[in-house]
Amino acid sequence: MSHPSDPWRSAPPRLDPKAMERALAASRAELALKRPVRGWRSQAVGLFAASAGMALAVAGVLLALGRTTGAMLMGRAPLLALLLSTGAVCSWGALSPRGRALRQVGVGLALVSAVLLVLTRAAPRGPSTLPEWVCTVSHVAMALGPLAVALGVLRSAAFDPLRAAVAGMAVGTVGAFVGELACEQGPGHVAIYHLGAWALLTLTTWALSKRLKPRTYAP
Amino acid sequence: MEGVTDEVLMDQFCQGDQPAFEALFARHAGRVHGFLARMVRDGPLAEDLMQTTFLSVIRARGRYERGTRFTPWLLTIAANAARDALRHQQHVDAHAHAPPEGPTSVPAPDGDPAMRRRIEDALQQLPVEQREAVVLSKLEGWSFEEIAEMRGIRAGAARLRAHRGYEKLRELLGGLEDMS
Repeated sequence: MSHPSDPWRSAPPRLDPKAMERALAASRAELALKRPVRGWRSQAVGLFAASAGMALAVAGVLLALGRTTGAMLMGRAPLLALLLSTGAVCSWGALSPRGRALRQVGVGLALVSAVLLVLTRAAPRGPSTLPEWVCTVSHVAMALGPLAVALGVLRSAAFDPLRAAVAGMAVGTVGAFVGELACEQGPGHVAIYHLGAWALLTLTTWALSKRLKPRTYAP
Repeated sequence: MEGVTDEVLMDQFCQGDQPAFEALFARHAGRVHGFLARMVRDGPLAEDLMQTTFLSVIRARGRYERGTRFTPWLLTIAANAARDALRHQQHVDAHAHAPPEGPTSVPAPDGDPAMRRRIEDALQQLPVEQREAVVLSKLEGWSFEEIAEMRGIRAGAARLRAHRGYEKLRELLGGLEDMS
């Protein structure tokens, strides 16, 4: 309703009918492409599947090569389950349109997981034959696939710093999971080289997502 | 399509009904453009952003949750697009060493043109967050709770943004009465 006496409420600038036609034509052209519509839930499941799938696949390879054992897997099962849960919550929270509270829960779970990864790590059995940074590089390398998936699905919504960071945390669970099975270094090494890689992936996801132009500005 | 709520139309569109989208476009294009024109104060940019907003509605229909009120969802998309454009514009201006100022290509609307132009010039001098809070609360009639939900902040923070915006507008406009 327009109130001529109130300059705040006078009618906004009129929309040029030609501009309206152009916008409608662009919309029709977009609809004519008949692109498949993907719901955010399936995107969240996809992100979790990419992270958890990679973690479980590498765990399977380690088992097959004898680099880890069933007993070790069972011994670390609670922590591994926590990491998978963190990945699931972070994936869901990152893609959910109204998931602000869940994103905060995801951050909390990631922090708890990080603390437990350090506190539950036993003293190293002996000196490693590899440089310590190999763990960081491996973490990042294993997460490249899930990172690409995360960046793809994040473009379906407007950039949100917390959303992007939480997606990065989901991506980082891959290396944390595999590090529990493949690395026998002590808690100091985990704190620096494993959690450092997790933080780096979170930061990278945030930074790349911020730079990429979103496909939509939806919340 | 008359008598059908926006939410029903959006549900129908999500099921693949293209005329439902066109009905939503016809209902809301003017309002979205008005909001964007106030946010960016640049006629051609507001038109481009209006187009971007509706393209986002099409591409992001998989993110629309049944039961969500359509108009706030639509204006949230428009606000996000405007913010991104303004951020980009600031970036470009910063690199060109030429800060934007003064009136632009949006024509003076109805009412008291001089007063309205003063208000719109002053609005452009507010930080984006404050401008958004003022436009949404004063002109679009949103509650602070709705603005807070859109931006993921507390209602008190949304109120504070708008309050600071009104304060700054008061300074800029001098004696204009009844600001808030």
